[in-house]
Amino acid sequence: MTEVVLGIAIIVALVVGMSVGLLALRRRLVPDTGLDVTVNDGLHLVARRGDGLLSVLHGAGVAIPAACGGSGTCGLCRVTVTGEGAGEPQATERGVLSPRERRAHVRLACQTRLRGDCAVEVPDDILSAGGGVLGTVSSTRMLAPLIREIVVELPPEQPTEFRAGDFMQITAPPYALDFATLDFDPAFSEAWEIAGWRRMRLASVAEVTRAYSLASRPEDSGHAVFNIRLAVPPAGREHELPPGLVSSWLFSLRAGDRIALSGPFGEFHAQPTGREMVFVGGGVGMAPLRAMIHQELAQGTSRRIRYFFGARSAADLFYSDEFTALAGRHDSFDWTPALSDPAPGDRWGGATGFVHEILFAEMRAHPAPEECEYYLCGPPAMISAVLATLDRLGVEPEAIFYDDFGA
Amino acid sequence: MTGLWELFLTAAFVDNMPLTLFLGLCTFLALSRRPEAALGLGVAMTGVLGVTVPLNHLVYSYLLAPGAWAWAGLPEIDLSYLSLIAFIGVIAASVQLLEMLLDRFVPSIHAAFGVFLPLLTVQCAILAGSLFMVERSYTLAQSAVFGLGSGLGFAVAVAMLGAIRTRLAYADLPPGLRGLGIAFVLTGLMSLGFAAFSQMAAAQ
Repeated sequence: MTEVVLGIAIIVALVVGMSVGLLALRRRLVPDTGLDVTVNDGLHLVARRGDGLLSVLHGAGVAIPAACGGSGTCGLCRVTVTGEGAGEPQATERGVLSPRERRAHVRLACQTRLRGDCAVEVPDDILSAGGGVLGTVSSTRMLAPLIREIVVELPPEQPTEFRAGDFMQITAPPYALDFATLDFDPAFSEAWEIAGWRRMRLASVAEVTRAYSLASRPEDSGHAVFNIRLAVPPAGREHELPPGLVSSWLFSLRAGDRIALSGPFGEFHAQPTGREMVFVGGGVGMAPLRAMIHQELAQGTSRRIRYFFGARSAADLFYSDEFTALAGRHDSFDWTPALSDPAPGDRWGGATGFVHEILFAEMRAHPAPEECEYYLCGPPAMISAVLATLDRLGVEPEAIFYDDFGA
Repeated sequence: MTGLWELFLTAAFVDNMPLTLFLGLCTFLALSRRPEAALGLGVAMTGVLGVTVPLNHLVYSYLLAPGAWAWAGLPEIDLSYLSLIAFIGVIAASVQLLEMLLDRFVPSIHAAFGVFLPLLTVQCAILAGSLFMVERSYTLAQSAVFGLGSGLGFAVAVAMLGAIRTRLAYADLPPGLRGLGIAFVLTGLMSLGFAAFSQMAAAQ
């Protein structure tokens, strides 16, 4: 009995003693004073030592985009930070930021832990975007088995200027969702049944924000159009990995639902030159390219425009009729959808193969492929294949603009 | 005095933690990629081992060892089975302290360590230092010297590996060996070299 009591007493005394010691030392070593964060020389924010810069900025309503949710991979939260409080770039940042950016004190806000006062510079459009807007879903429809078009009506008193290629951030509130209750398009029910996606369930306990490109055309004024791809887990791992938190929530929306957005933001825009434009897209990479092509054509451009779009089978191809009609109306516009794996029932008479192969075959016949501008948007594997193809065609990197979904 | 000096050399070279006893290899390999991280790890290991081994010696001999409570009229009490939990507690507190010190004064090293700094809590070489201290019944002075010696031996080994791996940037290695592969080969070769020290000790 004595032994048990003594043993317990010793261990408890050791742990308590060491905890008290550590607490006392922590008070000495980590002064708990407020830090001053200056944003664009005007706004002053108070932060605590060790806070992440991204959460400090978000807390003050400075809506820095962060598509990856702050894990340091998307590179959208680039800000210029000066002052001793920022410290050295972390290893996670060195993979994303170029040496030139690092010399210019560019940091990823999500990876920057504050250790002292500092001054932050963010693009002006982000600062003026403020806390965002509350829109109303006006219509939704399925475009492909995993892609849904969502049209959001923006409040008229809050005019939002879009540039084609911009994206907005969408915040999903906490929710619980049973995929069996989703509204359903019978055209795609077979694919869903085979993959077992209807059996998925999901609960999200906190607000989550992701960035989505706008697919709005000039005639959609006052509305934001998004192409949402449901981020489903790889086949066979449905029980281990959850589907995307924000994309699942967006799939559950019906007309009339409210949706919180901020933005628009973006660096991926049509360049104001007279050069021929070549757009290459895959999957929901459609969205910004659709916006840019519609905008260019609506402006009555004289630039030659080609659009190559890759999909697996005809079921994954969307907006095809729209672009076929556009190509019929505009001589300067060519639309080339390419299917990599047409289904037997597709009766496909168009280009067959991966989109970079089709692009290579077409552009090799072009007298000067290096004189064109290239706009790419799609999954990372497609982007890297197309970049390699363009390198073979002798296109300089300066003529290539792309958005790889921040991956 | 010569006894302590001998113990120091034995701890640092003959019984070198990573290269002779193969303890603490995870951090040894993971943090030797860059020389500054390697040096930081060396200093951290020397500090943690130099502090925890004598501290654990005090905890063990005054609280846990058989007969430690004889002065209170309880000579039959033997709490040595609590030594693991007590040692790990002391090590955890020291690592926590080290983390706070690094975060405050050298944030670049703190960032370079990443997750490996808290992992020092369960680093086998550090616990092994305290367990050897009990097994070999060192005195307080011997514990301190043994802890510092082991830590310094670790520092020398990891600094050497770090330096060699930096030079490897200029080597034309087959792709399969790049990175960890060649680090394992290097560790094996260095370990062969350190085997020579045990021959010296045996010859004495």
